[in-house]
Amino acid sequence: MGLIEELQRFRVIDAHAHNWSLFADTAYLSECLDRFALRGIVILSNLTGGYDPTPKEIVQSNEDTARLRDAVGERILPFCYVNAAYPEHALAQIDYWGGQGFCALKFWVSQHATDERTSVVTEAALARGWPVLYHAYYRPHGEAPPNEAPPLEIAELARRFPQGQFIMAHMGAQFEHGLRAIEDCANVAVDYAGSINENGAYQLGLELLGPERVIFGTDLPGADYYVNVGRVLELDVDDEVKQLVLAGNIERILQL
Amino acid sequence: MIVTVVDTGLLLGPCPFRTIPSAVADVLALREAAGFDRAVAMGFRSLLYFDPIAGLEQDLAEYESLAEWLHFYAVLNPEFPQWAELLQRASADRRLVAVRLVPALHHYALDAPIVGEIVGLAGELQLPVNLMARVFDDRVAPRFVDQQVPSMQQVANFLTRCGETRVILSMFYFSELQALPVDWASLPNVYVDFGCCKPNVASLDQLRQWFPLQRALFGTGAPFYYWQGSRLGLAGARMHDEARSGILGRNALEVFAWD
Repeated sequence: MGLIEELQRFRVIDAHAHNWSLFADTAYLSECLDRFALRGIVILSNLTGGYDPTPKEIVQSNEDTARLRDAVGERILPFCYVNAAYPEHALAQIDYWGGQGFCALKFWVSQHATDERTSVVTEAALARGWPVLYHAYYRPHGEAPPNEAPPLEIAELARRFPQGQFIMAHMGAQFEHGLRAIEDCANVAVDYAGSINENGAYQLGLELLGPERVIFGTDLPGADYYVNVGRVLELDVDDEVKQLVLAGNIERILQL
Repeated sequence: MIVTVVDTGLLLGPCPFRTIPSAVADVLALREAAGFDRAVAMGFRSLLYFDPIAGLEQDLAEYESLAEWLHFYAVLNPEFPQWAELLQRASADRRLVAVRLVPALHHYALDAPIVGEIVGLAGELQLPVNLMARVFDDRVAPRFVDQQVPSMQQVANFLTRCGETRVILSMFYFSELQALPVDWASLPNVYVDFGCCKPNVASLDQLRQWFPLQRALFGTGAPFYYWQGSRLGLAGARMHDEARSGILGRNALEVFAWD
């Protein structure tokens, strides 16, 4: 069996993507959905406004996500993007987009997870039954965005809301660090979306967290779909586990 | 169509930072799963030992039973006193198929006269020179690893000075390769390994628009890196099957002068 045929045996939902860059072109994004036979794709906004978006930029970003969903249809799974540095605005965004079919909350790098304002916004999202996807990075090199949350902060936030469901993105970048940070937080799942391709990440995730806390995502369009999904196919685990990672877990978390 | 598969970028041996599955049995299993006919590897010992020849000898000894199809780069640090001996050693041993330079970790300038000397001598010995941009992902390398990737201008200058010597670029990112100020058509002896290059959603589809595919190679970095995604990326890319099979293996047969 060829690699493409092997992939086609599975149902796949991409739980981490953005509508920026090449995916600002809705037609191209739709074409990719068909080409990759994706059942769904989580859109985490186009991150308009960079590291510290204004309320106006947040609105623009969420409106772009909504337009994409309206154009493409139900395969788009829209997450509400907020900047908790503007808590009142973030709460209003959750309220508004919750009424427009958005299904979860996305935090990027504009607020630490230990910031009290983040807790306020998180509480509101969880009260709606939304999961919270949080970008997290442990950076041994380079300058981090000033308010970027490292994995240990995600663990602290998750412990504060033990009934809430969190997704820590990128396994925290350096996977041993990230996975160990949230290992004991049963309410935190992880994705390994992106271009970091180190063998062992998914294996350690499955070992430490179990098969129901590891989620497939890509960070499209900045990363290659096949390169990301191939990491899961490579795993020496049962097909049932691969299927949980590739779709089952995000289906359960988003109640699809 | 019978497709020859050559992985031009295995990373083998004892990695100091985490356990990777690279015992002989692991490499055999990798070969069976990935279906490659031949592979070219770099051992961590030949890269990191104070004495790179001693490290290389250990790599060769450990994998001696696989020598029929598993070849190695001879990692050459120009500051090591016996670099010329290592070069001669490489040219005399069929298991060693190219010299590999890793200035990002050994910290020398690509425009140093000795680098030109090495490239020239390698060319005389019919040995390709592999320039490896990096070993680790820049963002998550261990904090104490000071990995300094050469500037793309330095790389471009290096390529234009290499003349008749066959040169292979490995572990450069797509964004870097596309930004290199070179005319690929005017560098007929330069090959690029695209197996571990951080492609975006369209990178491999668009490769034919800016790079001559007959000089594209494919090394995955396994088992330190995942291999199947990279291979799946190539399998799913929009290109002719003839070009794809060349990238998977046929082009490597040419650059390493294998029958």
